[in-house]
Parts: sequence; C-alpha cells; structure tokens
Amino acid sequence: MPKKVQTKKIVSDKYKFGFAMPENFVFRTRKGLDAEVVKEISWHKKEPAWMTALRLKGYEYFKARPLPKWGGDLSKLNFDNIYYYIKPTEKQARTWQDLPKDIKTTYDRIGVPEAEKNFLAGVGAQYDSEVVYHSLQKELSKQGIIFVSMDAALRDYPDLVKKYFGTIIPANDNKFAALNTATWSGGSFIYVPKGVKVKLPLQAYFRINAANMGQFERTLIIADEGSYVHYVEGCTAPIYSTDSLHSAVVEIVVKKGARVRYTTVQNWSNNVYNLVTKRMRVEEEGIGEWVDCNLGSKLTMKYPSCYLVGRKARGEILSMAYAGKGQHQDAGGKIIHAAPETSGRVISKSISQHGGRTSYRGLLQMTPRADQAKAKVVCDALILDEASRSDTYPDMKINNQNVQVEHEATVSKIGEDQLFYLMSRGLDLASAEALIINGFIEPIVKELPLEYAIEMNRLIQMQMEGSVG
Amino acid sequence: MKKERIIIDYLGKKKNVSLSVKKGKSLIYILLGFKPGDKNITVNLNGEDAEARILGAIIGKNGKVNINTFQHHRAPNTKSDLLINGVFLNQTSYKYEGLIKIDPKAQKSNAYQKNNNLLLSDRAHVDTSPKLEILADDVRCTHGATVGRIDEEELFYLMSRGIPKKDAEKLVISGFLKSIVADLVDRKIKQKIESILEREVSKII
Repeated sequence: MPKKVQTKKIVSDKYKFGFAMPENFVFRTRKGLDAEVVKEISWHKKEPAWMTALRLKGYEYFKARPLPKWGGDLSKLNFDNIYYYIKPTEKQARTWQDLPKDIKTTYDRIGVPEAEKNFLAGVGAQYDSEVVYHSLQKELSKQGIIFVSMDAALRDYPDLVKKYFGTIIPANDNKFAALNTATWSGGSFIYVPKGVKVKLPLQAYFRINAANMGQFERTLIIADEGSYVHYVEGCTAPIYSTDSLHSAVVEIVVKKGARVRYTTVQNWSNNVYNLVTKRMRVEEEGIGEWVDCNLGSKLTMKYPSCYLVGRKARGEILSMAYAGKGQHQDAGGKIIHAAPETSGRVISKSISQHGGRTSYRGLLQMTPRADQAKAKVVCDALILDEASRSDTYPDMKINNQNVQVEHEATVSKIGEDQLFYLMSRGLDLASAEALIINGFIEPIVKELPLEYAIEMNRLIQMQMEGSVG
Repeated sequence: MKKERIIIDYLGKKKNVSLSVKKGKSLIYILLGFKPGDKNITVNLNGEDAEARILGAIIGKNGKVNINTFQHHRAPNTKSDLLINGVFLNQTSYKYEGLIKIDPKAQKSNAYQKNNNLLLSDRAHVDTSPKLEILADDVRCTHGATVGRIDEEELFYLMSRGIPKKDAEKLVISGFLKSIVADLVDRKIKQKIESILEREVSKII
C-alpha cells in the first residue's frame, strides 16, 4: 500500500478534440438573432414558404418564453453574441476526398472515415451549420431506407417532412425547441420502411468549429411498422474562451412493433451550452431506447423522453453523465405511460469530480389509461472528491391504481471496503479506482457500439496515467 | 444508548414543523395522517453525531394531502432516516416532496428516505418527488419511492388460508402502515401507534 494517499485525477479532464481549424466559411449570418436573420437562413436554404412561416413562429415563441428557472445556470448565456448560421462549404460531399482540406483533416482526427469503413451502415457529418458529408450503403437505399440531411429531406421528401416535422416536439414546447424551430440547420432525416431491419448503426458526427457558434441541428426519425434502426451521434468542439450554444431537437416516431435505439456520446468542449430536446412517440408493441452519455459541455440540460402511446409499448433510457471542473450535467429522462401494459425503465449513472456537478432530473407519469403499466427508475451517483456535488430530482405522477412504480437512488463515494479489497490483492490505488469506476458505468457502456465502448474505457484508463504525468 | 426524544404529530395540526437535533442527540418524529392537510417538516441535524428518524403513516380518504420533508445535514457524522407509507382512496390527491441536503462540511453522514404508496382507487392521484442534493463526498445516501396497488399474491396467500377477502385486505394494509414502527425500540409507543393504525384501517375497510 502506498504510504501517503495522494489526490489524483481519476477521470481525465484532458480534452483531446480541442483543436480548431481556420474559419473558412462561405456564408454566415451576422451575430445575434432577429426575424431578419431567421428569414435570411430560410432564404439561403431556398425553403418552401410553410417552413419560413414556421421558423418565424418559432422565433416569436422563443422571444416570448422566459428562460427556465430550474436546472443549470443560464444567466451567462448571451444570445446576442452567437452566430446562428455558418455555412462551411458550398455543397455536400459524397466522398471524404471532396471535402475542403481543413474539414477532412478534422474528421480524420476524430476518426470518422475509419469508423465508417469498419462499423457503420451510413454516416452523416455536420460541420457548424451544415451537413458536409453523407453516405449510405447501396443495399440500404435499395431497400427504401432514407438517410439524408434534414435540409435534403425538406427538398427531396417535402411531404414526409411536412407530415411529421414538429408533431412530436411542437415549436412552442420550450424556449430552446422554439429557438431550434427558428434557426434549425442540418441534422438527420431517417425513414425506415415497414419490416426493414438495419443491422449496422447509422451514425452522425456533429462538429462545431467556429467560435461563438450556435449549432441547431434538427433530426427526425420515422421507423415504420416492424422496422429497426440504431442511430448513433457523436459531438465534439474546439476549446474557446467564449461560449458556444448547441440546441438540437430530435423527434422520433416508432410505429407499431418497430424498435429505435438512439445512442448519444456527447463530448463537447467545456465552453458549450448543450440544451437539447429529444422525444419519441412509441406506438403499440414498439420499443424506444435512448442511450445517452454526457461527458463534455459546460452545461447540459437534456431529458430524452418516451411517450408510450400504444398498448405494450416499451421505453428505455440509459443515461450516463460525467462532470469535471466547471461542468454541470443536468440530465435524466422522462417516460409518459399513456396506454395499457406499457413498461419503462430508466437507469442513470453519474460521476462528479474536481468541483463538477451532476443532477439527475426525471419524470415518470402514469395516466388513467396506463392499466397494468410498470416502471422502474434506478439512479446511482459517485462523488469522487469533496469539491463536487450530486443531485437527484425525480418526479413520479401517478393517476392510475393498476400500476407498479419504483424509484431508487444512491449517492456515495467509492467504497473504502471495495478499494481495500482490490488493493489487498496487489492493485495500486489508481488501478483499483479505475476498475471500480469502469464497473460502475459498465451497465451503460456495454450498450454502446464497440468503438465507443473502447473509447470510453480508454478515457477512464487515461486518467490513471494522469497521476504520473 | 442515546436517549431518544419522540414526537407524535397529526395531519391537520400545525402546518410547519421545524426541528433541530444537537450534537450527539437523537430524535424520532412520527406523523399520522387520517384527514386532509398540509405538513412541512424540516429536520436540521446541527451537531456532530446527531440522528433523526421521520416516520409517517397516511390514510387519504378524500381531499388533498401535501407533505414536504427536508432532512438537512449540517454537521459531520449525522444520520437521518425517513419512511412514509401512504394508502389512498377515492379521489384523494397526495403530493409528497422530500429533500435530503448534505452540506459540504457534513462528511461521513448517512441519509435514507423512502416513500411507499398504495392506491386503493382508480381516481386517487399520487405525485411523489424524493430529491437529493449532496455537496459532500464521504457520505452514503439512498432514497426510493414506490407506487402500486395491493399485491394480488399477498391477498391470494391469505385467502387460500381461509381468510375472507376483506380481512385479508385489512391485514395487508395495516401491516403496510404498521411497518413504519417495526423497529421502534420504545415498545409502549410502538404498541400505541399500531393500535391507532389498526383502528383507522378498520374504518376504511
């Protein structure tokens, strides 16, 4: 056993995607937001009139709504100091070689082209406001699967977009959904036809490059009856001294018997406000799953939700959060049981250290129609030092007698007994701590696609080495 | 053994209750609720080694019941334990909000909080929100909440042994409520609470 116990970094605060490329945009709106800027974005995208009108409505709602009084500290978020639309290139590329050099280098360093070769059925890459690269395996497009950027979908599949856009998350849902409705750009549109199961994940990479950037991607996924799709998104950004804003809206429709899994590995740099609205509507016997990992950002407020509207629909939310110095992860999930025999499960794991703060915030609702519904929420939190903080804010609203609802949560530090056990078997303190933390998040990490799981474990291992250098 | 201060309180009496526990002292607060009403209970654990238990048994027959609890750990090595069990009938609306807060200096503290609810009516409404705010690291906090109806298997077990359904229900419900005092050391008070709960349960079934 070491004679003195030194404080060391258990989880690394080093951020390896913090590099920035020169800002070689082809167009950007002026700083700040007003109706003119909204119109300019829409005009630039040559959108149909109904979308321009919807954007302007979203802007009105955004102006009218106050900032939320709960959650994280939004008082320093300056809406006037942000570029709401930055177009990085003239057109979308179909091969990585066609991309401007800086952008290609960025994705090479994040490792996207390599992952595409090995693990993925399709890739979309968004750089600032626009999706700059898109691909989908040929067999998949032959099966009728649509996987394009949201802008392309509005152009090529206007009827589908019009039918679903804003139906799961209305423009006036909350302040940030309204902002997204006004300023959205990029994001993915996915349609999976009846009975089609997409074996490999579809993936989107979101990159903010410019400083004072607002990224507002909009994603819409429609899984038709009996289909399956797994969508994965990753996010990174350079480190700047000024703040950026990421405010996405993700709407998902899971039709009868379909299953959608949406995995997020959010690793924004520590100057990004990440305020995202994500929701799925799950119909009869459908399954909707959120795997939501939040490692980066300055402040994240994100509560992916499942509205279970059909008999036997199932919703699952696996949430993981890590907060280091200067970070607040206010994450969790919501499950609304609006039909009989629905089931829901939320598992949340959070780690805070170096003054970081993690908060679990959740809602579980049983409506009078939710006979024989079941739900369970489990939240565990680890606090690694005395400067850090952990909160749990669950809410359970029960309007039905024939249900089963359970919630449990624990908050603690790493158990002395666990450490002692491992160290008595010859592990040093750092390895013992790493082993325990890896075990703690394992239920979530094992649900990640392999390359992300490896990355996650490496991240935690790296810090152990952090004690040396 | 520490000498325990025991307080028995009822819903409908004074709304705000604020209690402080000094260094090395121990407190048990028992809340019984058989009619609508609001109660805000704050327990401050102000001195080292202070301990508090908050126990509650609620039968909601109608109207609104609002209970807020706040377990505030302000000194090291303090311990708090909360258990509130409720049974709700008719159109009762029950709102429970509980907060455990552990201040940065309250290291080596332990806190528990549990809110269990049985719904006996389709029109009853329960909204429970047990919260934690933990600002110290060397602590252990656990909370939980459950909402459901009477376990069919428990009823079936009793009925298969010849107990009529009504009596079986009564047994399950009074057992559920009485469990809050299951490990109370003071036998006299324990028996008193149990007989009160038994009497109240017979009124509803």
